Amino acid sequence: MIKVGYIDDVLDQVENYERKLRRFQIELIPFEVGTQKADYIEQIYKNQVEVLLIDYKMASTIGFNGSALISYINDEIPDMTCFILTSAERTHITDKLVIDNQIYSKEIFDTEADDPDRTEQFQKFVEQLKNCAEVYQSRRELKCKEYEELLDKKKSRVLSVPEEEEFCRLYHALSSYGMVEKLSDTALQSDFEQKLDDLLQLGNMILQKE
Amino acid sequence: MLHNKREIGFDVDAYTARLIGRENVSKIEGAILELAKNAYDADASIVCFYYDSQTHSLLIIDNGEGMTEDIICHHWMRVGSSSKKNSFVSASGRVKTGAKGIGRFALDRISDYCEMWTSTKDKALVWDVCWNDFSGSKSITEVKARLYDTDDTLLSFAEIDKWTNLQVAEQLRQPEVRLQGTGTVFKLTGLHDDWSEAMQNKVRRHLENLLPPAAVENFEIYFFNEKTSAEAAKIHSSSIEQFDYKIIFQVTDGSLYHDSDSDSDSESDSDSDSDSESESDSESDSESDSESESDSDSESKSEVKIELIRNEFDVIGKLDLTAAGFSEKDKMYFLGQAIQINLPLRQLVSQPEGKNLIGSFKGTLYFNKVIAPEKERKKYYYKDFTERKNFTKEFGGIKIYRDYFRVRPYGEYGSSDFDWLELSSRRNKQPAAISHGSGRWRVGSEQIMGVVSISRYNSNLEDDANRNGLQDGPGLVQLKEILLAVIDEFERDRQYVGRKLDQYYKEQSRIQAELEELERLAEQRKRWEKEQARESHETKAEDSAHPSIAAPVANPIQVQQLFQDAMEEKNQEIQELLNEVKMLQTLATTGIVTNKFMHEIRTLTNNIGVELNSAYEALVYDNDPAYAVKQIRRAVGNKKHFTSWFNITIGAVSRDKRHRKNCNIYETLSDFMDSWQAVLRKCSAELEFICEPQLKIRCFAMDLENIFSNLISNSISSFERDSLVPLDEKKIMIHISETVNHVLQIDYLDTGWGLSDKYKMHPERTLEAFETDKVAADSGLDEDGTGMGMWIVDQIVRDYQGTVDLTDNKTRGRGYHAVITLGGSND
Repeated sequence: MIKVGYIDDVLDQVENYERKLRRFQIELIPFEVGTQKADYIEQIYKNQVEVLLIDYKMASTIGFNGSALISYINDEIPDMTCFILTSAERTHITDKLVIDNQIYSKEIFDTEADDPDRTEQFQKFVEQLKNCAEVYQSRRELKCKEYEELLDKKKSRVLSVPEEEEFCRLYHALSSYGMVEKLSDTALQSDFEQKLDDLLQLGNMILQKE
Repeated sequence: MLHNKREIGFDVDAYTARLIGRENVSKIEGAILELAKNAYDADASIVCFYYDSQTHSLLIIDNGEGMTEDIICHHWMRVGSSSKKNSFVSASGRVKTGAKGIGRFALDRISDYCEMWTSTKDKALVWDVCWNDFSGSKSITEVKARLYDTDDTLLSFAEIDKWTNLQVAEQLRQPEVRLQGTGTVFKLTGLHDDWSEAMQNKVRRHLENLLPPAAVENFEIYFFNEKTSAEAAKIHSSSIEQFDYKIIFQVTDGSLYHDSDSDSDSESDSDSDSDSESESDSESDSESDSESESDSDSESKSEVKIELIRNEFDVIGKLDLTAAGFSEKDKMYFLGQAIQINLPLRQLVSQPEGKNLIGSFKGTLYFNKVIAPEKERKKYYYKDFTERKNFTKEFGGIKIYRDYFRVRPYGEYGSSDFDWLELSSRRNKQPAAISHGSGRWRVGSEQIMGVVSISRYNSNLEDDANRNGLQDGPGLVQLKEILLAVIDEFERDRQYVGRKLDQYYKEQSRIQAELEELERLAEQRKRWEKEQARESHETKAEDSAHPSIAAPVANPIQVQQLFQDAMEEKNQEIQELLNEVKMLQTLATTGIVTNKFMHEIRTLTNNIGVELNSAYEALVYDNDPAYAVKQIRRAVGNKKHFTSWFNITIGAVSRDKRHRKNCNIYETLSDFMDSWQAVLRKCSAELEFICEPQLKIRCFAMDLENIFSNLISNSISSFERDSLVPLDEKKIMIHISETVNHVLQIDYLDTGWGLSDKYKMHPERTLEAFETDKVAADSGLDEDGTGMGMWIVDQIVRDYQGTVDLTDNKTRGRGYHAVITLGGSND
């Protein structure tokens, strides 16, 4: 079952969406809404979601619209596909922050009692969600290899500062999904800081000798 | 593995280079203007264009600084290279206008063969080229021009001794013309165009418009053929001697204005001495407001200083200004004192924070009417303009000059860019007369002309490479916005005067008619008394058995009946039109409300669909009837919500609301407010409605509903405005009470964001048609305000002799407050 996050300031239909997606082996996870964009990143990792559905018109309640939130999330997690799910007319969204084929009307969930055309449209939507989740999964696996390499370097204490940062980012992302082994806080401590400590210690020793 | 590295260069076909040039200078008038600009950039004090019809050649002479061999080789011969790119101020301080290194192609546009003589202080050279050499398949480096040293002087190379126009030749030989030293002469032969009289006149007209009137000193242009007199050869810039209104404006960017013009006719006293009684003058508020702000951002300090000079109305000594409602300051304005208006730029432009994208610039516009019916001349006390010609044909419309040189084709009469500010379509949208009580008068594109002076120092206003205007972009958009705002201020002032004069005229006409009627009745009475006296005298003299024969008169009852019938018919017509207007106002309000809540209506429709579909699937796939029932109930709830919508929108036009009757306000509005409360709850907003229960008014119920629907939908828009910090409270409070003389007072207050900067200092402007801020458009959702809602409110309130007072909004931090009075029925 893939996990799809759902961000909307009005959650009155979420139960219907959940039931419908569950029939297609998709678990819909509604997020708590708030005004801090960073909190959504935490919820992504906490809930291990692989795709996101985000309502568009939320500015009057949380201070920004769905497309601005997607822009933020993609800066933090570029591999995560985010869809706009809105009641607004698709062509009326003119801020050009989300590509057209990632904008869906909430009408997609209304298959009008098995109307063949509507059902087909919904199935395509589901396929797209699954496909995006697979892509996200594959990219994470690729990232696992990068992580392993950096971990080796870390163990040999040859990580540069940018590599150190990338290592921490990958660890945070991958460990949230249980894809890499959890490390102790000591193990996570920056090599750079350790090196700095060593250097300072050496300096002290030289001074003491003199 | 890479080896044997070679570097190879690009080349370009000679014909392509020529094609680029022709694309850039496509019109003959453009080519001539380009060459005149080159002379100006070379610090020339004179440039002459001499067309010789016998040899079908054109001679262009200037006394600029000339070119050295180095400049010819490295700049003149190098396509796309211009010595003006980096050093664009000439030795005498002129800001050079060219920079793209394509001006020389203007020569190719004019003729096949070009011979150039040029001399600096040190040396004279002759250069020639046959442009047809560029036509073959040669590479551009294979095309050669020839360069010679020469002993010729400027005038000997121009062969002035052989000219048939002796008069002009004599004039140009005079030492004060200074055509003896440095300069450049082009002999162009094999001209491409037919230089007919019409063509020459066209070029002359363009040259007349090349420079703004009386702005450029020490630069003269001559254009002549063999027959032109010396006097006619000199080009005089087109200027405007007469005007009804003169509008001088200056945009400052909060820092120093880069102005090389010593003639600062637009420099105005920065003190605002506006008259608060005048609509146009109330801007003084905004000035003081902007001054008091301690905004550190220089962009937001940008402002537009406007001076309006009224020269249209001949009212001094002709009418009692006080009786006509004018103030003492108005009197000074009618005497020629300029009206000073200062506006912060942020109120006029759509850029966030009112950012000035262009920098400082200025301009002068003139308004001139060409015709006016006799009745209007009398009514508005127009000054005599019978001798006035249509300036626009000669001068053009609103033209742009960059560092004193024309940026074509803006304002060019007869071209599609004549009305580049789209004043005509603006006027078509708001075609009201200046006397109209509520509609806006808009100036016609042929009634306004003038000059906008920009500079090379301005940003975001680059020339298009093809010398055909400015590049499209935010700078040009902002320029247009500012000009329209300046024009708007002038229109307001003219309409302010027009409305007062119209009212005065009506009052005077009524008094005059009453006097005439009294005079007529007195005359009638006198005649009747005379008749009576004569008749009684004759009766005594004659036989009393013969009664006097009365003059045939109309039956007074019949006359009265006819009069009543006519009046009834008229009243019926008026009533029908009134009903029609009411219906249209209601339909417009329905449209506005529906449009504003399209998102909510769509959400509601989606929800019902999803709920019914979920109920179906719960039964068919999950065998869960309880869930199905739950969803059906929710769908029914949403359906009820739809009913609220219908009550507000479709319900507004129901038949019983279309008749004027005595209404108990509370009872009339109770259901309507309930419906709004239901709608607002969905938007997480609250509505408090307090109305004294005994209040009555004779009205159309739809009028009251229209007032509130428009106000409430505006409040909801405000509640939903994008903001980093959401509103704490979304509440609307409506309180209806009765004040003195049975005047109803509606106190409307919301807790939204309040009016945008555009209307903060002038909230009354929101009552005009098509006035809308752009907040909705900026939200990313393509929803735009219609600008009709508050206009409809104002129209309705006027019908009831009421007022809409929005002044509290000027000082409110947040929230919107309207105090509306309704004076009772108007029948």
